[in-house]
Amino acid sequence: MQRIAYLKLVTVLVITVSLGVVISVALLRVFAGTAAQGIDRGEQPHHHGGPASTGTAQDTKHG
Amino acid sequence: METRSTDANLALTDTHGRQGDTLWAALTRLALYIVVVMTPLVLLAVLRPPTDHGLLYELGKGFALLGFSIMAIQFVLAARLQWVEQPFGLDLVLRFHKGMGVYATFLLCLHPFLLAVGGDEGWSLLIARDVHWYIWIARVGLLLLLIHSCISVLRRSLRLAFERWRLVHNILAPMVLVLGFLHSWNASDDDLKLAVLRLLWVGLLGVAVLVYVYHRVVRPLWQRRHLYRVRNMRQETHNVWTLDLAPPAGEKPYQYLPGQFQFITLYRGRGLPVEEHHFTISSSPTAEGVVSSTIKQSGDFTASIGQTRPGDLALVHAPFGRFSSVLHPEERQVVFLAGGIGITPLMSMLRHMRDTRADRRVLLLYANRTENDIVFRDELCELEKGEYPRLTVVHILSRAGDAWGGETGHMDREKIERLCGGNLANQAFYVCCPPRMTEEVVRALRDLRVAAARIHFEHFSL
Repeated sequence: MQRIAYLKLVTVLVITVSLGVVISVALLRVFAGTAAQGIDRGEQPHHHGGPASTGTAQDTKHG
Repeated sequence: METRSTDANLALTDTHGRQGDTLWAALTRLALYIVVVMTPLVLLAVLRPPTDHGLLYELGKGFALLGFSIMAIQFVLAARLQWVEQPFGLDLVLRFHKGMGVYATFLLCLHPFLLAVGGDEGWSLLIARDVHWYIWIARVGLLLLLIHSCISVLRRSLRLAFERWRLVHNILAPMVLVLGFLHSWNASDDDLKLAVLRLLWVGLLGVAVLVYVYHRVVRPLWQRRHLYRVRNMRQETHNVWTLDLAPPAGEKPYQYLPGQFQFITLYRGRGLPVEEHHFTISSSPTAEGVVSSTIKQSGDFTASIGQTRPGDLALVHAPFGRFSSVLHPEERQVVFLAGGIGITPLMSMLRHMRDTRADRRVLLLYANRTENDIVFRDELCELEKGEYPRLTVVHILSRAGDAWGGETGHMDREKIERLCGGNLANQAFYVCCPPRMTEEVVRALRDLRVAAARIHFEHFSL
């Protein structure tokens, strides 16, 4: 019976940790991007396409 | 029947690990799992490729990376690899596999919605016809994944036969993974442009493909060259049979613990079904040269078990499971609670105790409908009378005849408390009954304040 309890614990642990990592990485990347734009490193904005995009077909890709 | 030495069996037990070793093995495998599925995200955090996307878009990408990693490792969890299964038991590994499958489906379904809400493409990503081919394959892959997950979760409600479900599962799962790989490989605008991530992506796909091919092709081919043979068939009751399986000439049977189970595919010809099913091993590992399973005629496949003949061939994949008293040598007083054909793993343990002259006091509460349904009745009587005198057997019949002088009714809380002598705290309980009865017995034990660590049972329905 203890095995079932461990299974539930492990499942919750994996889900919690993974969601935490996904959110942390997303926040890190967004804030890093904002910071980079804030100090204006002179880089071109990174287009990812859409109807208004003037980029190439490559630009329309998403993650 | 010849028997192996006690020393050999102690060594056998050691190969399956002591408690401390098992805990360590379980933790290392769990840690490895977390590391593998998190690696893409961790690499992103460390390498930080430039992005000008918003939070929702980044979350959407992260969900896809995580979902794909989990999907790839699903193939490892489902491949019945001993290294993965041994510390946990196959029932838990497959339950975890199912849970993670649902979780990955959830993540991958959220992925396009988050990109649509957080990106420039908007909802056209989901509904526009004029999109890249890799968006189309993502849509197809997602649809297949949803169908796949729904069928898997609702299989019993849909009354879908296990064999049909498994066929669908074995086709759809690799398709979804390959479609997901093609989509992510071509659609990613920045993350998967990193060489290290590309390498990891190919690695994840490669591992999944290799394990799948090993599980579905290589290992079965090897096992077909080492087929077991039905040495003997015994009818135990009106609807229960024991198959004695002997390894190929010149080979020894695989080593197992009492209480474990095996997958068997019988090749009997005569128009009889060829399907793989898992059956508990009822023999003791001390039995030389033979492995036995005792099978009740209860389903569409097992209805034909009585037509098996000596000389028929069997593909055997084993052993699996952690429902074994030898893994808990510290338990000196044990209670076996069996219902119907659930006696089989407990019989294996009792035979092993007899052959190794174990120093354990055992109370067996064995529930059946009628006297005619009692499996191993004579052998249990012989064990109790002399071969293993530390055993006490109490039969409980729910539909007893007038001549029956023993316990009647169901195996409920009152009976367990009374027959166990009230001192439940010092006893360990091994429960093997039909699923509903197992739930009721476990609930009764918990009501009687038996610690969870002292209640052992296994989800036999994989």
